[in-house]
Order: sequence, then C-alpha cells, then structure tokens
Amino acid sequence: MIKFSLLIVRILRRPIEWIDVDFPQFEILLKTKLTMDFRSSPSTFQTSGRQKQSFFTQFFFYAVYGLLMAAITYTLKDIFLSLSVFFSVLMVLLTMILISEFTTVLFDHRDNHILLPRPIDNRTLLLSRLVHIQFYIGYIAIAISIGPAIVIAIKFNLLAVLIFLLAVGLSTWLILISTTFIYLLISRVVDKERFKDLITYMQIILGILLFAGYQIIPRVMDTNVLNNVVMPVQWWTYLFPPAWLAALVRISLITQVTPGLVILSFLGVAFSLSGAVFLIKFMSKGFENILGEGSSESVKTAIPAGLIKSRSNFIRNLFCISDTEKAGWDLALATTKRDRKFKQSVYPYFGFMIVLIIIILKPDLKNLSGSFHEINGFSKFFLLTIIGYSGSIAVAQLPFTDTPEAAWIYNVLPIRGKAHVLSGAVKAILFKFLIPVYLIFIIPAIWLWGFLIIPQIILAALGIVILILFPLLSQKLELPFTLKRDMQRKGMNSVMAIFSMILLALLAGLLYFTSKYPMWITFLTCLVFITGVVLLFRALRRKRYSYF
Amino acid sequence: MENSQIIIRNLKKSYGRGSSGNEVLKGINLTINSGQIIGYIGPNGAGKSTTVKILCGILSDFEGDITILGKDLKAESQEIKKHIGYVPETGALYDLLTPREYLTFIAALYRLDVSITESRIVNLLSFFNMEKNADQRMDTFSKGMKQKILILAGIINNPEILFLDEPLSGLDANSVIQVKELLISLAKDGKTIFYCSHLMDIVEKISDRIILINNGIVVADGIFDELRNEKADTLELLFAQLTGRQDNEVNAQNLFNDLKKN
Repeated sequence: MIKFSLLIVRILRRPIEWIDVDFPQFEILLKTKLTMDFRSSPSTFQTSGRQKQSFFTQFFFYAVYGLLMAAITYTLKDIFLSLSVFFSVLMVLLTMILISEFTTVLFDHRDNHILLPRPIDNRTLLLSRLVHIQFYIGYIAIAISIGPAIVIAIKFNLLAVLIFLLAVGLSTWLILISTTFIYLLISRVVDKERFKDLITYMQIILGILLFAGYQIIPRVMDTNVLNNVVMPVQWWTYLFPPAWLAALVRISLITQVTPGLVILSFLGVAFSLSGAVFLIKFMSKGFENILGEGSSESVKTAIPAGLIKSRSNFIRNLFCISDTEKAGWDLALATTKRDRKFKQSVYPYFGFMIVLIIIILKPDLKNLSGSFHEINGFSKFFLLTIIGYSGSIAVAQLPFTDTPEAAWIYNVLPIRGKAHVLSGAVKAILFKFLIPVYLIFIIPAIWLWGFLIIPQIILAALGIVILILFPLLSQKLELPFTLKRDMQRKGMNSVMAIFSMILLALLAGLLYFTSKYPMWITFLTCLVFITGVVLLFRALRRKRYSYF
Repeated sequence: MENSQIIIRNLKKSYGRGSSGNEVLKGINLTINSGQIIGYIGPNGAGKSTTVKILCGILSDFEGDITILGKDLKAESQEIKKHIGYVPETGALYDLLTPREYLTFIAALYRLDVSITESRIVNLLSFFNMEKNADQRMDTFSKGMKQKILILAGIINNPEILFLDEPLSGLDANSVIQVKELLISLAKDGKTIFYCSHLMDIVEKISDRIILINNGIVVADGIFDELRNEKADTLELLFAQLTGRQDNEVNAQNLFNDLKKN
C-alpha cells in the first residue's frame, strides 16, 4: 500500500515540483512517516500487531457503512442526484474525521527537533503532512466507496467506476485543502503561540459550521429535488462541491452531457488543483513557525491542587471505594484538563452533539416554543440518549497518550488492584463529561416536558453508563494513558460514532417503551440499571492486568 | 569580525503574553568565532535550550538580530540550516527505524549524494562500533545507543557549526572520551562547537570559552582561567557562585532530615 501511494506521488512529480516543493525531500518525508506508521509500536504496554488490526477493523466498518450508502446509489435513478447525495454524506463524514482526529497530525510538533533544524522549506513540510493525512482519509473514503463503486459497475461501466474513484480522491483532497486553508488563515491573524490553544475551539466551531451547512443546503435546495427522478443543474449546484464531483462521474457516461454538467466537473477539478497550488505556494509561509511555537514551553500555571480538591474530593469520595480508585480519579481529572490532544479528540464531538440535537429537534424559528413542545415520542428519547454520547468518546480516549513510557509507574508501584485505577478514571470522566451535560439539559427538559421527564433523564444517563462499561469489560484492560496515539487508530472515533448511534437508538427505544407504562415501571428500570452499573463497575475493578 | 560564525545582538524571547508571559531570554549579546568550543552553561530554566532552539531554527519567533555564517537567521534560515548540525537534549529520533534508515533519512534531508551517504553511514556507525546494530530497530536500543545515533545524525552533513544540547546523556565512559576527542578534532578543523551541558567537569576540560547564563542574561563570558577566582577554582564552584546557589549542602541536609521524619 505504501509502495502504491509512493508510485502515485512519483507520477505527480512534475506538478509537485512546479509548486516549488523539493520532491526528493517530500518523498523521503512521506516514505519515512508511512513506514513508521506500519511498524507496530514497541511499547511494553502494547500488543504487537494491534495497529494493523485496528486499521483493518476500521476498513471493514467503513465498508459496511459504505454498503448503506450503496443502497442510496442504487435506489435513486438519476446518477447525478444519487452521487450528489453520496458525496455530500461522504464529505461531511470525512470532514468530521479530519477535524476531530487529524488536526493534531497536521500540527504535530513531536518531531520538531528532527525536522526543523534541517533545511526543509515550508512548502515541502506542509505538502508532506497533507499527503500523509490524505493517505488515511483516502483509505477511509475508499472503504466507504466500495459499495457504491460496485453499484456503479453494475449499473454503468468500468470507466464510470474509475472516474468515480478519482472523484472520491478529489473529494478527500478538497476537504483537506479547505480545512487546512481555514486553519492557516486563522493562524495568520492570531498570535502563533495562542493558535495552538485556539485549535481546539476552532475544531468545535468548524464542526458546528459543517453540520449547520449540511442542514442549510437541503433547505436551499428545491424541496422537490430529491423526489424528482432527475436532479437539474441549478444555481446552488455551482456552490455545492458534492455536485461538482457528481457531475464529473455523470459526464463519464457521455450521454446527455449538458454545458452545466461540464462546468460543474470543471469546477471540481479546477478547485482541487488550484486550491492546492494556492495553499502550498502562498499559504504555507509560517507553517514552520506554527510547528516551532507548538514545541515551546509556555508557562502554564495549574490551579493549586487544594482548590480543586476542596470541591471535588467530596464527590470523589462518594463515588470511589478505594484509595487506588481515588488516585485514578485524580489522575484522569488532572490529565484530561491539561492534555491538549485529549481535548482535540473529544471536544469537537460536543459541537457535533449540539448540531445533532438541533437536527432532532428541527426547531421552527417562527414558533420556537411550540415546536419544542411538540417533540415527543421516540425523538424525545433519542435526544435524551444522544446528549450523553460525548461521554463515551471521552472514555474511549482514556488509554491514549503521547508518553506511554510513563506507564512504568503502574508496574513499579505496589498497586494490588490495578483495574481500580481504570474504574476510578472512568468515574472521573463520567463525572466530568456526562453528569454536567445532563445537569445542563435538565432545566430546559423540565420546561419542555415537565417534571415527569426527570426519571427518564436519570434512566438515559444510567443507560449510557452501561453502554460505556460493556465494551470496557469485553476488551483487554487498558489502563489510563498507557497506549501511544498512532496514525492507524485515527478514524476509530468516527467508527464508534456511527455504530454507537444504533445502540443509542436501542436505548431510546427502551426509554420510549417504559414511558408507555405507569411511572413505577420507569423507577423499577432505574433500579435495575443502578444495580447493573454497580455490578459492572465491580466487574471492571476485578479485571486482571496481564501485560507480562 | 571576519572570523565570526555567530553574531547575536540583543536576543530576547518570551513564552506566553501579558502577565502570564515568561521572558526567558532578556537580551543576549554574543560573538562566536570559528574553531571554538563554546561551553554554554546555566541553571535549569536559564534559557540555554531556548537559545539553541532559536539558533537552530526550531523557534523562529524572537526579538533581536542573529547572523550565522554571514547570513541573517530570519531571512535565510534554510541556507544556514544546510551548514549546521544539531544534537538535541531530548531523545528526538524516529526509533521505529533502524540506524541506517534514520541516518539515510537525515542525509536525504541535507540532499547528500546516495553513494556518499552509504559510505558515510558505515564510517559513522563504526566510530561508535555500532556496525552490527545498523539494521536493528532503534526502539530496542538503550538510551546511550540512541544518544550515539543522535550525535551521528548531528554530524552527518559535516556541519560548519555544531549545536549540542546535553550530548553525553546516557553515554558510557569510553563513548564520552570518544565524543570529547571528536569535538576537539572538529574544532581544530575550524568548526564551531556550541556545547550546552550541566556536566561541569567536561565543559571545563573541552571548552575554549565558557558562557554562563542565568535568568536570561549572560553573567560570565571568557576563558575558564580568566573567570576562576580564589573562592571558585573549579567551574562547578564558579557556577554555584554566579548563579546564587551556595547553600547546596545545607539544602541537601534539610531534605535528608525531612525524609527521616517519616
């Protein structure tokens, strides 16, 4: 796979050199990075071959997701319409993945001491980072596109499949250069040192904008478009990148080629190429500075432990049953507060969550109060479960760190029940990311649906905790901050996001079911769930730590 | 001035802004000539590593003027980087690679010819007697072995100026002697060695000139024989005298007593 990627890069040597990139340096940078990505990490705390396993697991899950997409491609008769829908979903999904999981790769400063003292110019460094990310985003895109590609092969011809795969490649490239363009533009107007702190907030804002845009486009569209057999080329399609790429595939069928489709195809190719040229030639200046400042040691003053403890010690002592659990709680709270990469992996999902809530609520701006009150049934309960989703993303990030070697402490200290560290950390994360979300939500929920919603909210929160604990029990015990963040696990959050929605929908179904019966049924279910949570935490604490 | 390899004028660097900002370098002025081994010393947090990071181009946001090899660092950093070498204090190398792969990668970044690279890597590895480790992944190496590779990567391009930040960390006694001899040979050949370390005895022995910084300013600059005095006849004592920590023994005793209580 590395050889194939490098072959494509070599084919593009001339255009790459044309934008003043030092090709030999670019090639060795890319080759070295990819080589390292595919070598399993040696950490004592990691199992050999895990990376490859997670890489292929991801491919499988995305391919399954792609099969669902293939159904859309198959059922809609107009290829331009069906591919516009496909590329919109694909581009939104990939942008979410890019923003939440690959921003840290773009601005990674861990190898500053290796690269920055060497004579590598900004353009070469930036392009090597972009193509490195493109490799992974492209891989995910290809996995999703397998299903639709088969449908195109059946319905049309091989040429259309080839053009379709080219369009998939262009879609990932468009996303990559657009997102990077926004980051670099902002880095020019804000202080370089502050930029690294701003990235997290930019990720959230970009996530919200993306989702918001995704909601606006269908409203701009003629509502009858999706019902029509043939999607016309209208003014908004020229502003809609998925339509550019869909047109590119459409004209490969040769029949019924209109000037509108040709212009759209031209826009797709032209924006991808000219955007890359503009980004590398004119925006890369200062990229090195951003990386350099990323490795600077700003003075960070932590709030004295005493101040934090006075407030949270009571809660910690309430939830944790052993000193080791309490230590795990403290470790997780302190680390997640200061680890920028943890924030960058988790916080964007808060942005996505806000938009998901809006999508479910579908507020009528003219009658906001009325439209909220009208939400009932399944949507209401799906909303109750989905707001706890970011908690599961936060727990999933717990084992990862940039300094797994620091995990020696777990083996050196005389800790009897090492799993207590994990259970304490999980409780802290739930306390930090799950409880506040529900507490904030409870006020508008009472306003909307009355006090009787409170037991349902408690039931939803308990259900989420159970959904979080089950996977932890089924897998090998990974203590907090012991696994290296590596490239091949990137994208797993989004796999989780897609499949968690199914579980959340099932939980929402259960809530809906209990709501149909007298209130004591809900209370009884709450008791069952509380017992379940207590038992699951007990089982988690009893897990054996067996790395050696 | 013709012989000056590095000219630093009023170098300032702050981390952070406003009240939370930390001014690490408060106006460093230095002129360094070729063929010198500069011992750049100072207490933790004095600004040594920051100075080196700026001179190597890792940090590019600073105040002041720096000229290296007659070129302005801000304007011509790429050209300067072709002629410098850097050995970082952190074990910053791609340890999933083998020494041969890593050194080939670094050589390629300097655009060294492939045939030169291959023979140079063999020679470099043989310097530390590491030929047999050439194709082993470095993640299995000890700290000292990794440090040797960092040193070799720092000199692979035969640099005019070599910046070393704690280069002897983790090296065994024989390797320390080898590196010392290497640095002396390089200096004799007209190279400039900018050597940051906390190991005072080695700095004292190999440096032609010692620069001591404290709180972001130069507090001593000269040949050791000029700097020494009645109360401080070793570099270690001079260091303690100039950086205001002459109560080390008392502090150690206090800590020891405190530990005994529990």
